[in-house]
Amino acid sequence: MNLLKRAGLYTLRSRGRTLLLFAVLLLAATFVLSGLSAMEASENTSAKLRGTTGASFTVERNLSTGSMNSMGGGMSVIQQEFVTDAMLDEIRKVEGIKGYTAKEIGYYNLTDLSGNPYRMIYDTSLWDDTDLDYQANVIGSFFTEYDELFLSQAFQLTQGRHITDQDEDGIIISEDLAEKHGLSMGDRVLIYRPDWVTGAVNAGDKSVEAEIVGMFRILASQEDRSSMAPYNIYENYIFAPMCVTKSLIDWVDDEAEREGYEYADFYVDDPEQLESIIRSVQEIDSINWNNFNVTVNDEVYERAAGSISNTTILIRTLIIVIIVISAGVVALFLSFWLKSRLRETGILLAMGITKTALVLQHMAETALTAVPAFGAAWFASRWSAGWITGLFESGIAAGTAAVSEWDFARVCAGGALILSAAVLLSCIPVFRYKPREILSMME
Amino acid sequence: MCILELKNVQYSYNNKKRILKGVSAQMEQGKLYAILGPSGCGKTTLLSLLGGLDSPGVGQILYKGQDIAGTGLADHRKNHVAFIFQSYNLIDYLTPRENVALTSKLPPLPILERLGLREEETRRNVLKLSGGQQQRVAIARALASESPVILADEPTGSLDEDTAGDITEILKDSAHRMNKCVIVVTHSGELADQADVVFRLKRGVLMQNRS
Repeated sequence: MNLLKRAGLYTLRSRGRTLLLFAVLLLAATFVLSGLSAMEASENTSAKLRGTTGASFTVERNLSTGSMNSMGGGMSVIQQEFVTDAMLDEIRKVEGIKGYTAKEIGYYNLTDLSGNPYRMIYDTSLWDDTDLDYQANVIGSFFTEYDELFLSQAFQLTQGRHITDQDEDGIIISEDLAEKHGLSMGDRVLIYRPDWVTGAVNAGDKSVEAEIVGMFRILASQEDRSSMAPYNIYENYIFAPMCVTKSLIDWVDDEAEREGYEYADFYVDDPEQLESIIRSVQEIDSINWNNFNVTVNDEVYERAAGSISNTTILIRTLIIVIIVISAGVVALFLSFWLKSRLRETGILLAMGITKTALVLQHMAETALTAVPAFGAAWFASRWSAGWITGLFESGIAAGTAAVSEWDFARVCAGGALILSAAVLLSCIPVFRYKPREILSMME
Repeated sequence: MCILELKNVQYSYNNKKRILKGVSAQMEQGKLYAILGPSGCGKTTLLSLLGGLDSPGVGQILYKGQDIAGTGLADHRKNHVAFIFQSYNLIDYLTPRENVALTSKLPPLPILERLGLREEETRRNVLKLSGGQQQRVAIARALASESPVILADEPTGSLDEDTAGDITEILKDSAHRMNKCVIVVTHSGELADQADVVFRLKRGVLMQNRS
């Protein structure tokens, strides 16, 4: 009778032992496979997030290299170049940059076409009849989809579209402000700048007509809203094309200041390429880089990826713990079972069956249980993958967790190695004796 | 013709107490040998050395003139000798047929039936058989291996008088009709009476009592 037949008969007839080993291997393999699929889902989410949030760098005026200009009366201001449209055009051409934005913020009123102002949303009566109760936070932008409020998912565009540098009069307002005043997509409004907002002498009132082309929902919460001025409250944020906000600062005397920006953010396709892209940008000769600072800005990605990274580490640790515990339990079981088979070992050795053949028989017995256990684990883990993923990270959609053939192959190969090692380890205490000593022990 | 030979075999446990002090003997095919001696005198140890379960500290064990240490103890156990133990030592998850098939490719049923087991008994688990039946299965396993030498350690020690008589007859038959060299370690005077050659082991020395 060869060792495979002996192994098969032992596996079939030692039902309790076989079922127990089957259960341990099934559970361990299912957990490891589910863990691997959860980890993969987590990494996929991270990669997706990387694509969504990307990373950015900021080009801003370097005030430390600017010159001091005396304003008289002991006052002085720093003179420095602004980030210009020409610079933006040069930089955006660098390969790997997918978008850019600069901000021009002003606090203006929103009115209907007849000039009747819409009151802003706020939580306290403190602002009633103060002029501030009509002030919105109007953000001039080239590409609103790259605005950090949308990238960080503090805001989510729910209707319409984002504003691009091709827009001339499209604006995006919050759903809450639209609901408060019965505004809807396509409505035309005025962005109105009262004279007093400018603080300049004889600046005059000014308004720009605009069309509502998008609405956003606020997903982030704001603390201390009750003490905030209305223009700082998210519901009162209005995104407008840069040309709109620029036309509203025509009262500024300095043309460079009027046409330029304090800073601009540039977004790249792949955060891993960020540094090489920045190097390429800094090689643009037409820009005097002594007057500008370039700072890396991937906080949005780092912040969002941080929790996912923690989840991945947790899952990886859990997988290692499960593997170690399972290997220990299996080695313990095998060792115990082998000791209980001392008589059989002695008999077979007395028949001239070698120790190597006996080790191979024990490996075959384990394999005969492990193969169906791993097969069952394949189906069990497919079922449980989503559920386990959901336990670890609610941000990872359950549907994204799936057991791949590669994971299964890895678990089978790793399982075979661990089980072989466990069988070898469990054999050592018995097989270090001579056949006669084993037979004496069982007597 | 001499098939097994002990040449000045010495053995001691943990290099301390010498249990065999230069044992020499020759055994032939077609004979039943009995080794007698008080408990603890080294009879089972001697049988283990003959069967290649252990190796002597000093001396040689020759099978057909070849030192078994040279050809390999596992090879000696597999091809030259078969064991019968007092406690039967059957594999407990196998049937009698399967136990016999462990050592032989021949059909196990004829030899089991020849030793007195009914066909349906050969399909049961061995633990469901009586002691006598289990010993018959153990003998069948030894005979089926076609090894020229059978080494039996107290084969009738756990059996009643009638069954012991039957087993003695089978062993005698194996030697005389199947041309085996059957070496039996025993306390049984009845079994020793049936042996062709009787050795007595005393104080580490093997003496031939009768032939």
